[in-house]
Amino acid sequence: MSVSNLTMRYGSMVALDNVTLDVAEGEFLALLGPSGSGKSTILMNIAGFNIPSAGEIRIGSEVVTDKPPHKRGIGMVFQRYALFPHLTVAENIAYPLRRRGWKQKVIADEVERVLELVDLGAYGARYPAQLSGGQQQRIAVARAIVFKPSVLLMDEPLGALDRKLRQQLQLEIKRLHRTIGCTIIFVTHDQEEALSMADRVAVMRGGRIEQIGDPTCLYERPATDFVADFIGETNFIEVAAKEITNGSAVVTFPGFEQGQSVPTAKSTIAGGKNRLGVRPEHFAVSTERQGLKAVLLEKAYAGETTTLLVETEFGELKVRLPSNELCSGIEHGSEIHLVPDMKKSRYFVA
Amino acid sequence: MTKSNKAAYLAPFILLGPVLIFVAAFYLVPLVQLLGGSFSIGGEWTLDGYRQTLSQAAFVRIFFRTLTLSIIVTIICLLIGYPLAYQLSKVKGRAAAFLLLLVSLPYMTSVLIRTYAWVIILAPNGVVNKTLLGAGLIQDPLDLVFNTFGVYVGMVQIQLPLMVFPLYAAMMRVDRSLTDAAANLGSNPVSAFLHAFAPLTAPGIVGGCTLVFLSCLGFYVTPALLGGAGDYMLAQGITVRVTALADFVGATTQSVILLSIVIAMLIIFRSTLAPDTGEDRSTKKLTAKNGTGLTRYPDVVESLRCRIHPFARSLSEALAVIRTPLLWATTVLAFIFLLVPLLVIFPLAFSSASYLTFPPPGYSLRWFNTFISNDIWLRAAWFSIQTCLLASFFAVALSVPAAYAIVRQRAPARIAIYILLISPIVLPHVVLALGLYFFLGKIGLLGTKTGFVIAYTIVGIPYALIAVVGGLRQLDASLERAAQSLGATPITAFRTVTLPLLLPSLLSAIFFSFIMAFDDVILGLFLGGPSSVPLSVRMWEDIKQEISPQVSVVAVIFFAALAAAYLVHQLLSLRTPAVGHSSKDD
Repeated sequence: MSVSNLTMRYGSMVALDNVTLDVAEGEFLALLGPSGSGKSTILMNIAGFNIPSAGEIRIGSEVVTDKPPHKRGIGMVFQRYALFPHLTVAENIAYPLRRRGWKQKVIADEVERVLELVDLGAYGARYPAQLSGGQQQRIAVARAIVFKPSVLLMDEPLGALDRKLRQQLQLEIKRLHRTIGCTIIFVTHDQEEALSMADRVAVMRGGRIEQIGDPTCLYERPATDFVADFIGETNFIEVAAKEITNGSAVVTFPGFEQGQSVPTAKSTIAGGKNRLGVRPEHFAVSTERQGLKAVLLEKAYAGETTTLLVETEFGELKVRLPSNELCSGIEHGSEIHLVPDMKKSRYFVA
Repeated sequence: MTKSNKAAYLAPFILLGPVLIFVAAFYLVPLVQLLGGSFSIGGEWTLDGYRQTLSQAAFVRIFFRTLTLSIIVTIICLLIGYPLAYQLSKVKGRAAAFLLLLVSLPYMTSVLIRTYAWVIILAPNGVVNKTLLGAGLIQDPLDLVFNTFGVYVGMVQIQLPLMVFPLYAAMMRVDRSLTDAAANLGSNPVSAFLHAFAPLTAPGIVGGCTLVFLSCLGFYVTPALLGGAGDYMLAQGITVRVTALADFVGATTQSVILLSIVIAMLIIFRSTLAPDTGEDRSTKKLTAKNGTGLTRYPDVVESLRCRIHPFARSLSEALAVIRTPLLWATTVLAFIFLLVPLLVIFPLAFSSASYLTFPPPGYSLRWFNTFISNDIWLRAAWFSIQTCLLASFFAVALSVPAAYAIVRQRAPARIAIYILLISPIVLPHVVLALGLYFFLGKIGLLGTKTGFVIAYTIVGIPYALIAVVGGLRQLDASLERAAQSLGATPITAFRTVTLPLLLPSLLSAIFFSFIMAFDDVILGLFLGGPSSVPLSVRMWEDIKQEISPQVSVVAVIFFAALAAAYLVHQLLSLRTPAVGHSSKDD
């Protein structure tokens, strides 16, 4: 399915700004972004609940922009599930099949099939209020897939659940995706969730798609400082670059005798705020007392790794080191030397 | 514009169309005609009507008496209603639902019946005087009724629920951890209440006072029955002008004066009367007044404040100690005050005496027998049931699409439309009655069943709309979206999801619009004819002639029907299992 040049305005506010998106059949795409970035608005447009100000939505080769929601045949899992409280679990799942005028016998078989699929075979006769949050979530998924839609939309479907349960259901949804093979568009504001579940992630900001790509690409080669900051953590260090050639910026940095080349997405240097982005785990402590001078301000142990907050000539930086002897030897107020891994860092031109 | 765009744009108009056309035809047009009529005598435009009316000393006296009485009743209601609502807001769960039901019970009971009960209680040979005389506390019966005191008692009892509901709603919206925070910051319970709780209930206070004041202005039954010979209020004055004096000019101008007060109040207090149409109340942003953000008092006030502070502090400490017993005492007395008039009715209905005396000398079914064997009573009852039932169905049928447009479609000008549709609640019935009297007379519907159904539908629409809007707002909009995403057309989604979940609200809508129409006396007096006498008018005439136990029989039958309706409502609501969200997690 595809979305092209989608624009959505509410008065003077632009909720979606010329968004174009292609989703391959069977793909699992996550829309990731802070609240107000437009990710849910895209979903509501695809489902037909919002009418775009401009642009086109296609499913397969068919243009559906003007179709009402009930004729689109898209499955949707709502934020708070939207299970019908006055119908039993089985009747909830049967709802789309009854609207399509299926035979009673077939409906019964299909309901049983999807209930088994989500591991809640014995729960058909219950009412939604008698289920736990996790079970309600699974029923919402079952109801959305029972009529075999080609596209399944999920609007922060795990947002209301606690962390443990969320992780378990993430795996279940991935498994389900493999089993039924339909296209899934999944909205979330949790970057970890997006990276761990999706084939591709579209990072959204202010009604636009900032970058779209597979999780590794987004993490290792963020196109903008926003993506670098939103996905994982990044230290931004203001250093000037001499020039950009072949996708690399040449940067001088304390501890390196000559200019180092750092990958970048831009081809020229603009006059604005140019910054070097280094992730906390891409710093190493130099044993030869070479590199960027840093004084330890605070240290936080987190099992396998330890995060240090240090003061440098570029301001405060975050550094993540393996929790080994070298790391535990660094004391409060002691001076260390840091060397960034320039190959894994990125240079951002504003 | 695309096809779906146009449909979405037109939907609110289609949904609001029927109710707006009905209200325009049978509510706005009669009122506008009344307004026009007040400026013309014999076809000529003139202000003579107003000149005449305003120069009458009697009118001016009645006008100011009505205003003073309404203001005093409002203040008394606030003084009793606030502590009552406060105590109610602290009760939780089933007990809270039960106590709220007790408060609303008088509201659902006919004003006629309640007023009648007060006569039994306060009359010279009534319950209170008999008790006091028996205890030897007084030698002669006190004058408790057929004077201004009686009017106050009756009106406060009738209006109290109207004050309590908005107050209760406002109090439930206040975050209780604010008073905990105030206590943590050094407030004693009284000061925490004054500084961190009471200011936040201001919308409820304004809303309750507006409602009570406006509906006091149009009171008819209570002052006419409990007041003395000279205790006329505006509604009585207008009725007398029409029924006894045939002074239509005077009646019209007085009605328009009453109408303009109501419209002015509606415009001023519109925001407090439309709290549930989905508008975000926080949009009214508070802005800082000066640079520091600290209030600066003038020096005089400041020195005074410093001087009183220790005194005020110890006073509030003292109040804090006795506040709980004080609040409970007020609450218990308020409940007695609200419910006693309903309770005296029951023994009376089974009285064996041929005249009114309390407590009854013996018990029998004689008054039930006279009711059943009296054709006039039965015909009136049947007439009322038919017209009110039809009207309440119409009111709900018109309100459901309108509520949907207001809540879900965010129709343009929805606040104004909502206020227009609920305005018959606060419009004195005498104004509506006079407007409809002229209007229905012109189209030949005066004294007909159709005329009554039209009038009662106008009376019922506000209650139906409030109930349905409330129900819809509780219903998660994503349920309808879910139905549509699963393949239901908007109409199927409404039928299979919205309607079943809305059923309890629809039943309340029918119930309340029925009750409110059933309770009306004035419309009946103005619009009735020889073959169209509603039960309320029948009761009214009976009470005016001679206070006999007959009316209490009607009241008991009415209560039985009320209880039955309540049970049906509960049973139907139970069938919908636990509507709402379960936030349970694994």
